[in-house]
Amino acid sequence: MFGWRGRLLRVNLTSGALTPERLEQSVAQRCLGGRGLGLYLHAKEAPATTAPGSAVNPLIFTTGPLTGTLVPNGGRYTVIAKIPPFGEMGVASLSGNWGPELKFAGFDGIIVEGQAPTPVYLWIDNGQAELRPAKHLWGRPVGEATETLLAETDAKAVVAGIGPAGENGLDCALVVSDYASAAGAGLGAVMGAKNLKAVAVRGTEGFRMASPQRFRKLVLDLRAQLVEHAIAAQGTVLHDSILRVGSTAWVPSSAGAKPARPHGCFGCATSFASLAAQDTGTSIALSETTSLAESQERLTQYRALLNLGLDFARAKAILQERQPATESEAAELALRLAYGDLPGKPGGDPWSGGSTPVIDRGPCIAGGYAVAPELTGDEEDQDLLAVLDSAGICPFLAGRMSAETVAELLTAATGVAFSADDVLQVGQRINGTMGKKSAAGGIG
Amino acid sequence: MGVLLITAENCTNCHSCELACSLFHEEEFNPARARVEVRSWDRNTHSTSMMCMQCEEAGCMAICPAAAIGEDAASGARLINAQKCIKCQMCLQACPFGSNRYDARARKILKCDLCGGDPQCARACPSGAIVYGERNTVNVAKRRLAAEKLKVIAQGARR
Repeated sequence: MFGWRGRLLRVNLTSGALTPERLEQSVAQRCLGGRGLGLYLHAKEAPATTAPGSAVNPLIFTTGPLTGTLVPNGGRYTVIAKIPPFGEMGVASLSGNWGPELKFAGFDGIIVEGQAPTPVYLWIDNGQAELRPAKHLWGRPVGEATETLLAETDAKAVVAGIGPAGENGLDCALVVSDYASAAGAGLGAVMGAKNLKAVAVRGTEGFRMASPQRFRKLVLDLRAQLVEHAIAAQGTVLHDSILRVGSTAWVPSSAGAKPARPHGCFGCATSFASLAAQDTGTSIALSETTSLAESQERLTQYRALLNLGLDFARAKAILQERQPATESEAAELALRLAYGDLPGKPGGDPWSGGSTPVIDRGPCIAGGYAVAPELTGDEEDQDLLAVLDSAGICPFLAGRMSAETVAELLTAATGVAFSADDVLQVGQRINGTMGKKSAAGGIG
Repeated sequence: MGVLLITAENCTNCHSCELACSLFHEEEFNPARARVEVRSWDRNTHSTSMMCMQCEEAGCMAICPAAAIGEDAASGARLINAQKCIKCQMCLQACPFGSNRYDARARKILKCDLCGGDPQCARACPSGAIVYGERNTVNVAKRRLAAEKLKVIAQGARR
């Protein structure tokens, strides 16, 4: 297999059994990976009436055939499970080093089933997996736990895990990887219910493309385009954390300019992209008018909440309701929230009521905004978005990458001949599997 | 003669350079077998890429007991002759940047060769953190920026 690694890891936390399994070519071709593969596996594994906190609710991590390649913004992976409070399908895609590292370690995905009797973490080292006790990490914030794990495993390992919010089963608890990328409100709680603190991965195996020269040319051309012309996205800012994109345009970059973003996820080629609010009254980080210092301040706040495993926007809404007078009071409230000492839902839940779109992807780590690229609501756009998520590309590129381009990339990577129509059909099938109503994913 | 200019403050920790490098040289995606490495610190908030600087007075070249490291006249890169290399790894010891690596799988030394004059890391870098250019002109932008800062002093002195 090219692109895919052809292997999944099944982890049974109840029995402690760790079993590698084949990823069938036919399944890979039909579902790609990420969202598509995750939904397929969950449907196959879980009984229809699975309660989010129960042992039979599988927690699934999946990468795509383009995850970990040189494709622009190709650091994507997906986390899937039924989430609290109502047991809806929680689908969250996020970027970072974790998904690529899993592929370098030899796996396309992990299926976690059962429930560990005491806290554990999973350590995957180049195809070898091991469950280790995590009592000493329980209750620790993400950053501290990650540093301890790196010391215990490998300094170059990559960690995805939960903070106190996940351990305490909060609806707004996320899965956090590489300190700053996170997604999936509620998925952190599922991980916590399984007593799984983290998954640390180290991989040095590498993987190949079916047509390496062709693939190299395609991705370098795409990257050159993204550097010469940056994406400028405009939209409406919701809850200070979601940018519902109304329009995107190409803006020529000036030679020798500093990147607008100080950080990027794995493979991020959109360092010059800018975000702006259409309503000029709303200030937004990462726009041309915001100073670096302002962006940094926001980023610090974002990372502080993430460190506790809390969803940035939801936690902020909950905290603001309590109207903390000082910053230290706000920090104290955040701690109480993460450790389960405050109700986990803001009154008059701003997340229901129709005005807030379902955000099933993690925010851009450079500023904490989840970019929702629903440009037209066009079905073809939605299908292509599902394909990007499943192939392993950040959905920020939706609307700027055609089905033809994605088909060419997949063909060169996997050796399976994909046409633009095939690609859209895969997307259609993935969106169909989810159904319009059950599309309520994790907000992250 | 070209040189790779590293601007650490532009590095976004995206690892694209490592992928481009391993794809070009090993036809696979594998940062562990790349000739360039991204190092990050402060919980990944700061990072930079590291690779061979193609030293004029190259320690690796001087120390190599098999005289396996030579110069590519066109690009200026220091190249390892695989036929001559005895894999003693003295070049790893001698490099002041800790740049060369030993690839246990292929049993060879991994050293930047400037990709024959078209470094793929620079091609893939999305933020201007790695730029390939002529030795004498590639850093003009940095010089101009430094001069801007000095301008303030120059103006003050005149007043």
